[in-house]
Amino acid sequence: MKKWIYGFSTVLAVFFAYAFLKYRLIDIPFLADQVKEWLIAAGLVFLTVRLTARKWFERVNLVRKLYLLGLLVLAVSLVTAVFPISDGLRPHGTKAFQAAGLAFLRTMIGLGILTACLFLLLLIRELVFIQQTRRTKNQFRLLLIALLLNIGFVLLAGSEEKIRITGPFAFDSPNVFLILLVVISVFTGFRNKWIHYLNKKSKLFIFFAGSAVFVFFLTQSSSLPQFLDQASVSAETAVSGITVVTAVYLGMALASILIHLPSAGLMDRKMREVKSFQELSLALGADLKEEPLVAKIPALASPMVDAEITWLELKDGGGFKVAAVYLRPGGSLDVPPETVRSACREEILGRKKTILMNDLSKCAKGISRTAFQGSLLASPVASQAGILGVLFAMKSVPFGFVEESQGLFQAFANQAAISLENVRLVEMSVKQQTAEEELRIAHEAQMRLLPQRMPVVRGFDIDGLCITANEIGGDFYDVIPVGTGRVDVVIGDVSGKGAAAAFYMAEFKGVIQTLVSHFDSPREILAEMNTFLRKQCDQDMFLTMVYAILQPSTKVIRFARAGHCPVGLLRGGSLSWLEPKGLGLGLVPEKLFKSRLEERRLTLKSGDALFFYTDGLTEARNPAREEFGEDRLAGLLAGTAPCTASELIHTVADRVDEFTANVPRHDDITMLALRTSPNRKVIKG
Amino acid sequence: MEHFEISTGDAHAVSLVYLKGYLDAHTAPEFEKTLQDLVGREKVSIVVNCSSLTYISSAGLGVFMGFIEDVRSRGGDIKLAELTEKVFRVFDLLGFPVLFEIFEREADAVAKFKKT
Repeated sequence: MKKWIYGFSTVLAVFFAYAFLKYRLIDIPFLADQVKEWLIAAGLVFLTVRLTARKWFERVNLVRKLYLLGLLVLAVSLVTAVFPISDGLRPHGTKAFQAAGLAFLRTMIGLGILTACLFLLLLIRELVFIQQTRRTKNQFRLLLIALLLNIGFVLLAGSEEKIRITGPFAFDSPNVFLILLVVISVFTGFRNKWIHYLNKKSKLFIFFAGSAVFVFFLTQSSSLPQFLDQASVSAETAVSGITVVTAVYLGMALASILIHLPSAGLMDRKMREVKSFQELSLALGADLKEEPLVAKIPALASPMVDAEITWLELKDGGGFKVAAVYLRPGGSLDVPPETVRSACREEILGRKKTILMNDLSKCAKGISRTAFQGSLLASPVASQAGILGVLFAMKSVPFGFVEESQGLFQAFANQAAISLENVRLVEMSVKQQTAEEELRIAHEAQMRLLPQRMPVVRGFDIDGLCITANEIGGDFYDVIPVGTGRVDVVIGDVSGKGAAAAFYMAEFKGVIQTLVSHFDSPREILAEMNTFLRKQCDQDMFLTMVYAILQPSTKVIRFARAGHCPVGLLRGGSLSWLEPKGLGLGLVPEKLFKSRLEERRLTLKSGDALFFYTDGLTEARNPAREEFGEDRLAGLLAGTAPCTASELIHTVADRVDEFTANVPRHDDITMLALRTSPNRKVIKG
Repeated sequence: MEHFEISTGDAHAVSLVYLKGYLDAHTAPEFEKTLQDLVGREKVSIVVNCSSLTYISSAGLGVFMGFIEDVRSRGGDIKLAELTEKVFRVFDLLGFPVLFEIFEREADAVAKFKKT
């Protein structure tokens, strides 16, 4: 913009200077004055550019801007009225000023008016730019250029007010630029979209007050520029140009407001409706819980249709329940009885659209004639998933709602349905996430019960593995070095599932740790565990376990089995199941338990392996619903070439994986293998 | 969910419970309810026929454990009959035969009640 104006001004100045000096084509009187005037014009241009660059009215709202505009116009008009030019600037009833002082005063007032005019231009610019299109900027630039050209013309025309163009096509040109200015002002005058943002009250006030000010302005407008006629022609023309722009723009704006007055009330209502919708959208984002949202829905719906009472009924089990009520302040209506409401609901749910009852006293269906007066508006609150509820609005007078309200109310109810559904989905998702989180924590707790590292036992090779199922299982195993040279090996399975199983296991692990320091017989330890379990309140819970105590130095292992899966002994390429008698822990009292518990003793040979497992392994299913089974396991173990405990376990794990294919596991698979390291010749290097 | 069904019957004073299908953590509550109902009506002479029972988990076993003491304290008992080989193995590993009388034929189990 700056470059435009600067460039243009310079070109114009250079052109005329050249034309004058070289060709004397244009008759230009008063050279010195001309230079001064052109300089002043350039100065005004520069000033305008600087002023428009700065955002004077950024923080001022629309109505204030209009008041400011009005005040400015009023001010300049007043000043002009108070100091009448024709009467030597002498306000009524005062003595005439001294001649010298007069000129000074005149110029000062003139400069004040010039400044005011520049700000008028800025304010008009603000209003015009309220709703910008691509053309707005260019159009305003054109306006400014027209103002400038107007000044240029006047300077060139001098006192004759015409420019004589000599040469082949000689003629006297009138001030075309003034006409251009008026035309562009009219185009600019159409840019008054800001009128739509005023409410009815503002429109009325601005129209009447503004018209009065405008008329006053018009009467004074011819005098406005005259204050500067002795100081500078450019400045004077600038003022007159701006006066023209202001007059045209204000006139058109006032006419436009007048035209919009009848529909002002409707506009206001539309704005309120839009605002209500905006608030609902915000509420949707703000509320992650159902209760606050439900309370808001009738409150937001009420102003939209001007209801006295609004309420939302939601589906509750088989029927509907009033979930939230909004009473307009000052209202005295009550929610109608269930008979009325159910009758309305039936109709709505049957027709699946909004109903408007203009006169309740005339409705026959289930409503007593004398009980109710007024009008009722009701919409189904439904999404694609189904009916969530019904939204009602009521007024105490018949025909209180306009026909258009139906569409609006329905649209609102649809929005409410979406919001409600969303909130419910979020709540469900949060619950699910919490449940998943709890499961994850329990799972982690379970994992921590298992040995993080296998202790190194001289002459032996031990490894364990637990492959968890989706649910929390109750499997666990442990390898406990006790004192010097004793290693206890445990594998157990708590009945039942869920987070509780994992926590019980944690408890039992603790009990075992205590027992280990007091007992050195698997039978004793299991007996103590049984007693401990019997003391628990849970009658239907029990525990199966194999407890083994290994003496690495002698390779003797003693073990007992409390209701658990048999232990596999892999010796010389063949597998035998070791199944000493024993009941599960917690099932029978101590005496009976001990009498039925057998402890066995075994001396391990080099290359022997013991395989412990839980029933999750043998009960693993393939897609054909077959179980892996003991026999298959036996065959697999026997068929495996001699390898480390770890290799053995992973071989079994892989085979089970293969067997089950994609079928999800329903129980943990736990394995523990203990192998006597084969004798090796020690090679000394 | 796996299929599970319970049906009941009477053999004079003895209540018969027929288990069919899968008895695991999901279906155990149903079995529990049946036993609860019987005990509530003081019908504590119970024979559980497992001929159609294809699978039992520790949860299912737990149901037996949960009622046995109460039933016995009321002078009754839970006897098992017609277990399949697989299901019997599960009971056997756990040592249930020490606790529960297991019969090959339902009639024998019912008869046992009369003798005691």
